[in-house]
Amino acid sequence: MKLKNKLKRMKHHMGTPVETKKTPELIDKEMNRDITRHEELPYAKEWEKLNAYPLFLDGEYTMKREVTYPIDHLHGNYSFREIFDVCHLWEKELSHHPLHPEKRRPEDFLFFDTETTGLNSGAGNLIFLLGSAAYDDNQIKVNQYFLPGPEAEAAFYYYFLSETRSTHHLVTYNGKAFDWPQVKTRHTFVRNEVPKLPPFGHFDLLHAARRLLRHRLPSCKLSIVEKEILGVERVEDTPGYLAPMLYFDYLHEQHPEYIEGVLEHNEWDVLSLITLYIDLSKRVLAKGTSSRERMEIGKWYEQLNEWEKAEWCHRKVFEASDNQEIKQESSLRVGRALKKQKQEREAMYYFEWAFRHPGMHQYEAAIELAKYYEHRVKDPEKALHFIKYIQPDKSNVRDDITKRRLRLQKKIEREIPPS
Amino acid sequence: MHKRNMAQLIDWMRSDEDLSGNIAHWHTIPEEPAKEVPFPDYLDDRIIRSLKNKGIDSLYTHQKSALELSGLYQKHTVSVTPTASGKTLSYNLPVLQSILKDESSRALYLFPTKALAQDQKSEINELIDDMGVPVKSFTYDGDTAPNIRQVIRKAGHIVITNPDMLHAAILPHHTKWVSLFENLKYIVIDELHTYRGVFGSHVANVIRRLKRIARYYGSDPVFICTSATIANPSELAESVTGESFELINNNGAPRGKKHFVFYNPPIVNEALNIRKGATSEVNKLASLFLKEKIQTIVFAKSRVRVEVILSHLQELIKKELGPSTIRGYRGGYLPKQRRDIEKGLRNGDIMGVVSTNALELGVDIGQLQVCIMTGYPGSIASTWQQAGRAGRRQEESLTILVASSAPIDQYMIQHPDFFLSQNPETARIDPNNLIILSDHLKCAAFELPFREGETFDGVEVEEILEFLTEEQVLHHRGRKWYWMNDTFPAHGISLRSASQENVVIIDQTTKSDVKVIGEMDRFSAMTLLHEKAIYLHQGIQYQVEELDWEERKAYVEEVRVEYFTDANLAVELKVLDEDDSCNHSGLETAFGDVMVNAKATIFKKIRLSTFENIGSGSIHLPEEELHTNACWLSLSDEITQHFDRESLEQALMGLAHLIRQVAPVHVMCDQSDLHVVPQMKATHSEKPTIFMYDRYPGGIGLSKTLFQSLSSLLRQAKELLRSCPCTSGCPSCTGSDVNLDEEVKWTTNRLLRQLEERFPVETKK
Repeated sequence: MKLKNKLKRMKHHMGTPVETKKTPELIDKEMNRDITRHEELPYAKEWEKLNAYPLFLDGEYTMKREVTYPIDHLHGNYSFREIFDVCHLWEKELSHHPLHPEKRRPEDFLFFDTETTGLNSGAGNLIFLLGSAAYDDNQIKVNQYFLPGPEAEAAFYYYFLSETRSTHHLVTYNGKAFDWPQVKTRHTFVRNEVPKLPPFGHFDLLHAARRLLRHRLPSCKLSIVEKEILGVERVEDTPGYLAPMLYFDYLHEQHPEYIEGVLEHNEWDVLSLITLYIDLSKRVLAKGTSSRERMEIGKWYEQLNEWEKAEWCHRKVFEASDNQEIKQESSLRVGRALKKQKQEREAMYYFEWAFRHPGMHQYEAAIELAKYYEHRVKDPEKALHFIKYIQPDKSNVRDDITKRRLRLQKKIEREIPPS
Repeated sequence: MHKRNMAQLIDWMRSDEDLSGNIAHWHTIPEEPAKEVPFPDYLDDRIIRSLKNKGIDSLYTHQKSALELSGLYQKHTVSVTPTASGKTLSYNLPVLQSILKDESSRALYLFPTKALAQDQKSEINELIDDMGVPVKSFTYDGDTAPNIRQVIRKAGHIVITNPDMLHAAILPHHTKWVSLFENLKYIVIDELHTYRGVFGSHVANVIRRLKRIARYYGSDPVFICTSATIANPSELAESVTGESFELINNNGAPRGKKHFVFYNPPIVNEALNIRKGATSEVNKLASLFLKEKIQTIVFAKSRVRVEVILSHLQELIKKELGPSTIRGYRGGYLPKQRRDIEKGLRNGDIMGVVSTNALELGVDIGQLQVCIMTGYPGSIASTWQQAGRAGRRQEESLTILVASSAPIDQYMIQHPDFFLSQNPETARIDPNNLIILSDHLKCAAFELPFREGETFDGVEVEEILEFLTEEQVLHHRGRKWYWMNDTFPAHGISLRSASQENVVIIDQTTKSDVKVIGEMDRFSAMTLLHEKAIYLHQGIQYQVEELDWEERKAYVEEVRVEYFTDANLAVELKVLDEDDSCNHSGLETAFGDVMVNAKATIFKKIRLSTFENIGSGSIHLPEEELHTNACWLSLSDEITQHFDRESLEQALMGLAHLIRQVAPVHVMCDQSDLHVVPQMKATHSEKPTIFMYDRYPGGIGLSKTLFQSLSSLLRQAKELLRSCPCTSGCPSCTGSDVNLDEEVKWTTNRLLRQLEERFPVETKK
């Protein structure tokens, strides 16, 4: 063991600092034996108590846990049933929106979340829990596939993919950037042994939550959104960051008690995604529940090129708000939405309003006005009047204004020859 | 218009009284005609047509060999070629041929730097565009925009990148690169000679990981390497890649007559053996050529030196030529600036360029007529590389090595034969350094679990995997070891820094622009970055204001002082294991594992001009521990009986200083990579001993090489001592320690004679 001693001596020179915790007892030989029948499963009784049972494939197995909730169950501020109302409302909504279910019904959604051994997106970051909630026959069915050890990924993905309908539409929280790419990564390792990944559609609610809630929350972490917005109060929750450690402990000890908390945490997560979808949809469908939120929804419609909807939101904010700053921004935005709809004259009314009131959006309004009078009305003198004396802080806006000003001055000189 | 042409200038240089006195040696290399062969008939017509459009009607012999061996016979090849011999075709031809034959083929190109990768992309794309074929080649580095990364992963035929990206961005995400790895036909490693020492040892392990991933996806790529002239290209290629290689060295590119001049600035102070500065001599020589409108390149060792020489030259010849016809070239210039300079040099708009070794690597600047080096570049291989910048195909060219007063320069200039007859250095790596190896095993396990019985490209690793399991990084289960940790191992491991826990050097001269200017391993930081130390970075003096040892940060500010600092390191060396030893009647040499405990105690301020001690201070830093490899020489009574205690100590210190100068040249490493410590009473044997140890934990093979060639090392030490014109020892030979007395040169010489008698007589080549 000379080499090992050398390694121990040089430990502090190595890369990734490693914790020197207790040395784990040698793993029981039993554990390395193939388990092919239910009776051979270590701690089978304990698993049963968690509603979990093994599924076998070619000498490997994966654990599947199932929990059902009645459709009237209240999770936070809403009961699961309310998604049906929300979907009805969406049906009447003709404009395009990223949260619009289009032709999908609640049964088509798969509220989905994973637990992994790390937060990076590298090949070695293992997914050990694939959790989902779905509407099924007037119930909510939570399905969790759990990886009992790194050798069992084929069975793990095999059962997840064979038992999940490919027509499902994923609903996740940051799943577009993290969970789903990681599923793709790990799937690559077993792609010859398991079904292909279906081309699931995907709603990532993190994006929507950031838009609508960021201004009132310290961060958009799901746990904070739950607590502050959804009325969900977790009891004895296992925080997500502990999941990797608990899983490593489970691997050494094999007792499900180590990951029981992680399973519950994940179950809670997928249920909260339902409540969050209901909540966010309601906000969008009502075009906001406060001026600030309405403006955010308006901006969202701007990005989607839904100008009519955007105009409606901003106009409502403009009319209802008594906050100068919000009012100024919304008048500018109404003006822009009108301009996009080729209603320039009316747009000018809103630009002028923004221009006449002090605030950080004055310059933008001035530029809009100058453009209009220069190019549409062909009145360079009037155009110049709007931008003559303003000195914005932002250098790019300043440069734009300076350029415009010079051009207008030249135009004016050309028109009126010096006497 | 030339006032005098090259031949006339060369004649004049030989005869001019002022100059010829300083010429220590004049070496002429005869011209070589081109050796060309017609395009082979199996080469794709589209490639031939495109080459003909570029004015290339035949291949040089070495290009043909590469095409045949790597393309036709699928052998791993390493081509050794001088600068500007068309080496890129050696790999572009077989790679393009394979892609034209099978559209799904992929190739991976590795270059040591981003700039070289960019160059190569333009070059190969020119060829591809001309052929009008849908072959896609991309660079993939830190600057690649996220939106095109996906395209590159899926559809890039040729992916051009660097080892760092391969290590931290490609391999750990191999599942996103399936189409590359499934169809990987060629791996091109250009500038192979740069992969030596710690960096090379890391890269060799990255290649092991690369091969492992390629195998996993079912491909078995062919390696094509190119290297500048080193003594052991095949051996290096084999240790970097773990494959066996065919050597291609039948260079067919033509070469004009070359003159290599060893120039020693005149002595200005006989007693102190002080010569005129190399910089001013370089200015004088360079302006002579530039005034005659002869394209000249000047190499200098630091960025500051480049700027100094540049401004002098621009001043000197501004009347003859505009100042913009002489340019500087170094790291830190923007890519566009550099492209402009390269272009100006190629088309002759720029007459002169002053560069750091940045232009040593294969950037295309065409061929110049004169090359002047400010001081010996530090290794024979890089001297030849720099010299290769001068020499157009049909014309005579001139290279002038202007020696500085550094001992190694003086040794080289007085022993031109040593330089000219010596094989270029041997590039060494030690991919099995335990720390480097186990760091990369972590990365490899992250990428793909290890099966029981699996080796790491032939290296048995089970014991290390067991160790990593105990450390709870891996999980042994079934018949495999799995990565089981929440970190991303590649992020903690840098290929270019010596030790993982480096001290970062932060320049806070300008409070509004605080920036990191470098890093240094912990061990060296104790003596070079302690508080109040004068730290030299690229020729600029900085004073260390604060050293935060816990956070590993050194805060420095620019200063201008007339002294440097020299810290005393109390070193305790314990021999842990003796792996090999040799007894030469009283002289014992050995190699093994040592533990070095070091503590910085005090530092001295030493005046730059006179080496006087002008002050001191104490250093408060904790003791450091380094476990590494060492080789040592111990003297027994048979030798020591000829000395009294005092003179033995002097001789030991003198010899250690000589070895410190000569050994880095011998093993092709930086002076700071190898420490030499004399001890009057070594702990393990109680004998007077000189230790030479690798400065990197676990060792990287430097001291091992020294152990195998101690006799020639001692011979070089003796030659350095004897050729030094000083009478009683000086900083150029035995060192400048204040404890040395006037006898030191003489006693050191005596000791060397004693040692030499004990080695079997070697016949000089």
